[in-house]
Amino acid sequence: MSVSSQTFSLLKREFLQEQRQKYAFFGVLLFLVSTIFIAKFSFHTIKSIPVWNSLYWVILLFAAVTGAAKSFGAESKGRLLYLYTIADPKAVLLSKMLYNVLLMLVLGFTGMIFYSFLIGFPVQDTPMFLVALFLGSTGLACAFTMISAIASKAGNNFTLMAILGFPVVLPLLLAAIKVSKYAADGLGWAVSMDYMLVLGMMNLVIIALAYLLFPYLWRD
Amino acid sequence: MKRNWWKFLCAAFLFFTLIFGLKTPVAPGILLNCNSIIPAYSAPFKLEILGYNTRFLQQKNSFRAWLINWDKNKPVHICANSFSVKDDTHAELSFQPVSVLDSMFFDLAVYNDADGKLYMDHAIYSTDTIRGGMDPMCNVTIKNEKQDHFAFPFRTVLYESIRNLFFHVPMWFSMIALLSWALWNNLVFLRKFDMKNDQRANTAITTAVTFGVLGLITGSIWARITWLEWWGDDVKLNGTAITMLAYLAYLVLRNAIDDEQKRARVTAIYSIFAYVMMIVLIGVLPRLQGTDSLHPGNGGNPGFNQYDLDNTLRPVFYIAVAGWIMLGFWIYSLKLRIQNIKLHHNSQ
Repeated sequence: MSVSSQTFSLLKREFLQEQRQKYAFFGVLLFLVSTIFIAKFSFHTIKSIPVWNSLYWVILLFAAVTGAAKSFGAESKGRLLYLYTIADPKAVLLSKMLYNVLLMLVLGFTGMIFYSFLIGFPVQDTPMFLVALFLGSTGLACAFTMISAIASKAGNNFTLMAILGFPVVLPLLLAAIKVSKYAADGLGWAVSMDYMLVLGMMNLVIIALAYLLFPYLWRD
Repeated sequence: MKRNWWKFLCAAFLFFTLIFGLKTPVAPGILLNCNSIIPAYSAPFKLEILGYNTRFLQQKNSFRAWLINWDKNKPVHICANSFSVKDDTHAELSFQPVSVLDSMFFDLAVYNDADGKLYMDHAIYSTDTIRGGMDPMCNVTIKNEKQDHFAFPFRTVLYESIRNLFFHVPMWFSMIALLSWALWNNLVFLRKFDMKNDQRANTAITTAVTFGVLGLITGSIWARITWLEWWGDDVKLNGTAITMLAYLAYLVLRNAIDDEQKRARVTAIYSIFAYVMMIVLIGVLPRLQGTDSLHPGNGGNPGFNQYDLDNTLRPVFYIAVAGWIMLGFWIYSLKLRIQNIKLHHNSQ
């Protein structure tokens, strides 16, 4: 079986597992919604665009850590070994990454709906903001998938995941915050093109690095 | 002895850097010690100037001062009609009423035979828009524009702290050189799985982190002097801080895994990620438009090369960079040897 067909069957397995257990997605969604409620109770409405923007990205960052930690952390040692014998490591990584990207996109957009419903939506250039949200959540998901794979090799604790993950996703997050702030200010595409490109390039670099390095990490 | 020639070179370079970097005087320069606005309606006015490393009193006979106003790219010189020199660094100039020609800004130039021509861009300006008669023009042809003794350039804001160029900047060069060496060893490790490469990479990273911390400390001191704050709101500064965090996380990760082979593999992969993020944080993000950076060459600022790295700084700077990089690798090789001895000792 080729890597792509393996990836799709493994992705199907992820969804099946999700459907049976239901805790990963709804757990993170609950986390997201309750954080937004806490923000609502403490701020009511946020007038300042930088605060509004960065608060959402911080919430999303923690949701990404919580969500992605499950991708390799939730697998038992035996099941990983079984996967290792039947599948290409690249397919394993790609399926997890794809699943996490979908999870983060759903979380990012539903979270945004809740957030704007409760706290306000002071964005002037909505399409650009959605592009920023798309690129940012994709990057967070890809980076944290790889970090979760690394952390799972080191005893799998959540603290280690945060310590390893934050420095790696910070440049990505900074660029995403910048683009979405420009979008909220309505500064136009020409101004944020540089950051958009950097954001896209960083996504590609993270995916490429993870794709190349994962087979080495996988071996035990 | 033959293998260690570069260590002698390193010591010589650093010795040269310390001596020349700290002992070379900063070139004479002038500052204004009074209000920089010309009084309205162009009344006669006085300017107090403050010299730095100047010899006004010694060279009183050759002392001259004039203002320059640019009239459509053609300089119009307005000489001081009288002056009094108080001491080597203080002088008072008095001017006849001047009229604004094309630019409201006036540059100030002071000359004496010992210091050469000292220039201050946009020293004073006039809010007065009345265009009076012609200003007293004067002949300012001088023999030698600049004295050719070896001195570092006089820059406002920087002053004596310009010497930090030989300490702050090479720390980062050294750190990046060591991290690149670590990256190379990590890549080789993933090809050959030789523990020697892992040991090299780990030692290089711990040494690089030390240099990074030194770079942050020297930078912080420099920032206090020039930007008046220990830790400014600067993308490059925060980017390097995050890079340090990533490599500290690398060290934490190393301690979290017990199995040697597995530890080497996992940390090699993480450090490749950290290196790429460092390139983005230090090399890409600060160079974009619209970032708040006070560093030269970042956030739309002109590069250091363009204005400030003149021919007196350049040779010392290059030697300093070479010296500090070699020192980095020297420390690295010593650490590696100590580790090998410990390893050998434990296995016996």
